[in-house]
Amino acid sequence: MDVELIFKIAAIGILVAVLNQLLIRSGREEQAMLTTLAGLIVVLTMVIREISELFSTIKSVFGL
Amino acid sequence: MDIFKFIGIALSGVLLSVVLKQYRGEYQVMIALSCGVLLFFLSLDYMSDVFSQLQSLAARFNVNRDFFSVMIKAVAVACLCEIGVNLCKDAGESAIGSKLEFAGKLVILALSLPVFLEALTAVSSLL
Repeated sequence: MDVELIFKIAAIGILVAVLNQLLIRSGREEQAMLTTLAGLIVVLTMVIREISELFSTIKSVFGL
Repeated sequence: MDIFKFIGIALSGVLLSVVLKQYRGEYQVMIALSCGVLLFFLSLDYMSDVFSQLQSLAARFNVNRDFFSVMIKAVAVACLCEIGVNLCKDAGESAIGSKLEFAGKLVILALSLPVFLEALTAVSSLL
């Protein structure tokens, strides 16, 4: 849960960027857009899981 | 010291988000959000033992219990609002950020109103 979350997101971002360029150069713009969307959804689920964990911790710490 | 860990996380997050900015802009917001959440998460245990010490202090001077819980809630709302507002401003959406800030102020005001009324009645009874 520590720092590797940030590196994971960065790795996915770079991978999607490279794949995107690759697909665009080879003439498949639709797949490029789909891979970008897929990468975004994967990263979004990871971040949302972290946020929900943060909110539950805040509820417990602050006694809300 | 933990502060080195925090600085390391923040710097790596900044570097990665700058790298990713020119390729995929949306990942910059993701990295900023995850860095903010991570740093806030890591600093929570400092905050919890600060609050426990404050609570024992308040118990010794028999400060009213709900004044203290209102203060804690206000601190929590302020911290979360600040994360959201700065993130919105980073992403270039300062309009949404200011609306979030406005909502946060209203929530804190609503929280602190009963305490304020109680203080007023105490003061007026003195006069």
